[in-house]
Amino acid sequence: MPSERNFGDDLPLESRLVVFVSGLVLSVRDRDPWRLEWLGEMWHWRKGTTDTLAHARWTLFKRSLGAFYDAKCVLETRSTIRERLFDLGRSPIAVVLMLSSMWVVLTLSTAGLSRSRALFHFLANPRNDLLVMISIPSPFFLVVEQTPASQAASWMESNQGLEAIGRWKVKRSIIEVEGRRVQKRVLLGDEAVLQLLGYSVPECGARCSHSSCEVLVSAGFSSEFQNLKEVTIGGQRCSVGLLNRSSEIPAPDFDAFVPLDGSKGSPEEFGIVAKRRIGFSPRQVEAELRAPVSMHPGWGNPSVKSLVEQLSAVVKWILTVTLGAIVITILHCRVKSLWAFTLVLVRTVLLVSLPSAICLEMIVARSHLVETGGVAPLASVIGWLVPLASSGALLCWLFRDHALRCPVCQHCLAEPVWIGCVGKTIFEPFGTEWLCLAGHGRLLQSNSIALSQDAVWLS
Amino acid sequence: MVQMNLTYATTFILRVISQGRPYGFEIMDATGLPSGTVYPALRRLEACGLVRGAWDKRAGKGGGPSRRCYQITKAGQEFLSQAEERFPLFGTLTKR
Repeated sequence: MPSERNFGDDLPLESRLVVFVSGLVLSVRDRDPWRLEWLGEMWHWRKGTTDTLAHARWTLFKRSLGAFYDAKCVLETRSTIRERLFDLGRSPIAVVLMLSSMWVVLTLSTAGLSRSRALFHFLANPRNDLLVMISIPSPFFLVVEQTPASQAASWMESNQGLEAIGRWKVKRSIIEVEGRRVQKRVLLGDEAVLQLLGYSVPECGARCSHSSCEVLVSAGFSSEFQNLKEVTIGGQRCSVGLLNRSSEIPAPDFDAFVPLDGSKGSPEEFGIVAKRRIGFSPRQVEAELRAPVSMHPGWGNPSVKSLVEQLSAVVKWILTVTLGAIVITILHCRVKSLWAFTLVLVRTVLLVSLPSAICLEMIVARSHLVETGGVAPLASVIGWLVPLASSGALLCWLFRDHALRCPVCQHCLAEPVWIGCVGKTIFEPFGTEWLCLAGHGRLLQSNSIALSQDAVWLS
Repeated sequence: MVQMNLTYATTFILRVISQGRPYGFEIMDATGLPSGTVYPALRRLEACGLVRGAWDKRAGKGGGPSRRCYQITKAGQEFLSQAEERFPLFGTLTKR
């Protein structure tokens, strides 16, 4: 081992940096001698070269890039996994990076920890099977519901998952009415839908109570909003306001308002309402909805889907894609050991998790967009295509990467060499021979497109 | 000992070392191979016992840092002979 000396200062900065970074993957024992060897060679070569200064610097930089491959080779031939883990454990930066990356992966793969927890809690609650999501073009209808805070807490408890998802909830606030703390919720829907959902909507023109009017005014509604009705919702007195399609929407401080003025930017669908329908299946709700809808020209067909089914479909899609990718990878990449299988599994899950998280986010966000202004069909398609395309591209890369790995040790195959001769190209096409650096065997790949053959592993 | 596979690159590098070019960058100059091929091949040759690496202290006495030089071993000579038998044209091309 030579003595330490600061001769590296004579070398170009970029080349030293590449060698320094490459050496980080090595164990502490191998790192210093390895760096000294590279820096020493670079120093002597630079002293002896007759190239111009700029050309020598460029050549040195190109050669220093090979330090990455060299460090990887040293790592695989000299260091043991135990040494590498021990080094990583001693480095606080590596520990912080590892924990941070794990946190990021977990967060991305579950579209947020709190959201995923709430989502699974929601799916696990059998009572939520009766929740349906109704999508129907409808006139604007506003319900202001006042519920005692105690009942609101109970409702929130029973729908914890739904509320915690966040994008589904409507504006809620706790207000004081006649000395009582009540919770006010604002729901959107049309009269027929609300009746079907269990709300009793009285005749128009009924006067509302003074306290309810005060509530509405204090919530920021303009004086145009006067057509209020008083209804009983679940035994509670509520105020209901009706806005005609041509009415101008007051500027509210609620997120739930959607302008339905027939302009280009208006959403095509409106009125997503999630509500418990005890004793009714989504199909029954849809059948009930079709009758009143057919009486209103211009209304589109309603779409009723079980909320649980939709959210379960997202989870199933993620699991299906992940498992499918693993199966294809195992079949395509000649996985023969438990270690190799584990590597494929981990890499597939990590790669698929990001696009899946984006898909999940898009699905949840889309419902939010419908409530708050709609989403253009093109944007919706792009929102699906981008995650799917990126997922496919990442999986293709993964398959190709694993196809060029040793099935025994999972190290990357190296030193590709063309094999075959011109005289045999008709029956035995040109191929490439890849080599396992650990000596486990060779991979023969055909280069011919017309006579494509499966790669052959020769151990 | 790691099993060594016979490839053009490793044979070429072994040949250059046997011709008296013991340093990594010299091998690159002689063979034209990139550093990402030469150094990994040298590691594997050393791990297989076909070449022996050592620090060249003489280089450090001249004012510069020490260098690591590689010398072919007896097993490496036998390996090279086998390679030249397998690739007769290669042996002809690389003769001094």
